[in-house]
Amino acid sequence: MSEINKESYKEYQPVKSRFSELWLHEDYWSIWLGLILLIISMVLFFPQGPEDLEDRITESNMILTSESDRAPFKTTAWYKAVDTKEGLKASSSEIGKKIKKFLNKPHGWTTDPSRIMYLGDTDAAVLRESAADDLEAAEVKENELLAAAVAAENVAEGAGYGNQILNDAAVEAIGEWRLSRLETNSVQRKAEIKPYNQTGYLIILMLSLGIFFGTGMKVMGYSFRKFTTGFIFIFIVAVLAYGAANQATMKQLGIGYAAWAILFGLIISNTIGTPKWAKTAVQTEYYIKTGLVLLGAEILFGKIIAIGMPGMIVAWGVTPLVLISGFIFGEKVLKIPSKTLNVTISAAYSVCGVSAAIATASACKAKKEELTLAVGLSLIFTSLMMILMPPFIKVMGMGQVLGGAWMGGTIDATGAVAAAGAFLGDKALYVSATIKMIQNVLIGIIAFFVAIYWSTRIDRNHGQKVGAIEIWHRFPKFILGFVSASVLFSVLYQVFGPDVSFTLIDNGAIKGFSSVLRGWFFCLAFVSIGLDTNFRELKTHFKGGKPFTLYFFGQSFNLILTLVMAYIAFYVVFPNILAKI
Amino acid sequence: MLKVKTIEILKLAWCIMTVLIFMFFIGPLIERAPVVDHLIKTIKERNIDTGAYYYTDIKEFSTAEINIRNSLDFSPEKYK
Repeated sequence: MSEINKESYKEYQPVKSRFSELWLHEDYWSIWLGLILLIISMVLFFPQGPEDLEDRITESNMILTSESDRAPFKTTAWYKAVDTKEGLKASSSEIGKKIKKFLNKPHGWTTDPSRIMYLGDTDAAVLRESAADDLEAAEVKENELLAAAVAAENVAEGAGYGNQILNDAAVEAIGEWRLSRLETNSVQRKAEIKPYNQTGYLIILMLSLGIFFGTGMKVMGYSFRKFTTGFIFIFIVAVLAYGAANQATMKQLGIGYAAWAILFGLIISNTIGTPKWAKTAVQTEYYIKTGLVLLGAEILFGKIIAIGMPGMIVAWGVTPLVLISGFIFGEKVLKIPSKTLNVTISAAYSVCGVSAAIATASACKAKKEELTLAVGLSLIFTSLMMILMPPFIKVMGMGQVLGGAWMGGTIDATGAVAAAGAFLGDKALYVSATIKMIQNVLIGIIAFFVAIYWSTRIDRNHGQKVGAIEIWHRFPKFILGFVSASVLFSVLYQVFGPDVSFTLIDNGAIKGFSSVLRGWFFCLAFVSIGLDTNFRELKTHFKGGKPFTLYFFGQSFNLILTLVMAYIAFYVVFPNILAKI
Repeated sequence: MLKVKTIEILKLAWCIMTVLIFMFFIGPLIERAPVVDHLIKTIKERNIDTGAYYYTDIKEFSTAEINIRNSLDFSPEKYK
């Protein structure tokens, strides 16, 4: 009998749900805590849109309509109207800026680690002054190119837009102006550097989160004092992980906080050992599930039509196919003994790396070592693909849209997709980012179905039929909070409409509050994983290199299928969408 | 007991050294490799957080979404 069959014959004990689980189980606590934070985010940010928000959106949309009717290309006025809409962010309000100070992660640095926490007035002034001349030059260049673009546009208009050479010259001039705008923004960031001292804010955040999670722990029967004492240690390691991830070189190579948090935890637990007094706060599941409920609010189903049918085909057509075929390949060909490891890795390469691995691993109750392996493999493949795919696409002469769709559908980590897309050009960035965003939304569906599949088909004795009540008992309850948050925010997104939602939800309640906290919670969870993992245990899960083989073959299949489907979707079936982009 | 503690601290110091060597020597070497340097230049110019795990963590995704959405909703006459 194979390892897999042996596992399916494992005796499962019947599980019973009790009413008291509502306040005694971490699944429910993660729901309550997550929902409390989401309510706070709505109360704080929904009233923060500019007073004339509706008027400014209406005015911009009127300009966009008239410009798109007037010219056969996107004019300077068209782009300015989009820029106006992009600038409307509730997170830029006074309250938004104050909250940002409290929730901010450690700052970026290159060689001086003190910059993680502190930048003095003098140093900030030196940095600003060094960029001042560059900013002035960039602004002059941008204004000149804008004037040239407007002039070229007027010439094309003078010919009634009937002269293709003049139209192309205008498009080229507008493109140069847009590129110069990016350069100005880049210099502007340096020229507007302000002094900061993050230490006090981080201490307040640490105490607030310690009390926040500690309250739940107390009700669940743990010692509040022991938890909060240990939490200080976990939080400090999380700050170090964020600090390492924000070091300039590490940030550019895409080595994010998850990898550092696991690594620092592993180093501590496998050298000097995790301090006994900190162990009560090593609560991987508690942090991860609360983070996942917050992540639910970021799964907005209105986004799936962002790039029309081609995006749906590439992101939602290919992904489930790659996930299911990878899982079957792992089971039947590689005979990976652990189904949870198999599905966690398959979700990581088919959907979007770390975030998909977290959601899937929690839905199927995978071991922490299995999640660690999936995260590690995703990190290696993401870095390689981010570096190798853009030059390959350039050498092969693929268009920006096809190349962008290919990278958006295959590169795991979201940040790496943005970097690889930007390298190819703005069109590639827009397409790759939009495809990845649609794929990100799929996490909710996949986590939900994995939880259902595991409750009904995996966690049972051979041949046993599982009734509805038994499925309920086994179902990971935090998924309900995750799905509820997604449904609530998706409905609000539809009610507000995409423009107002962009201001109040995307760039308000989510970016200004819930997604920052979700990042902290995942970081605390990854620190806990590292602190609770033994190198030897980790090695046993990598036995025979099967996880690597699964990732390699799964990702290769993903690359081939995504490229074929992206070509068919954008070039054969919906060429009109390609033309509009 | 003291010997065990010393070995543990030495192991920790070795791990920290390895991390620092990777961060300040190996990482910059990788950055300077010809196949990577153009990509790194783009990342620096745009200040992209390549380690971000979800679309809401990166401002480029906001820009991408609003540009694509308006390109489809308000496309120039000849593509309608």
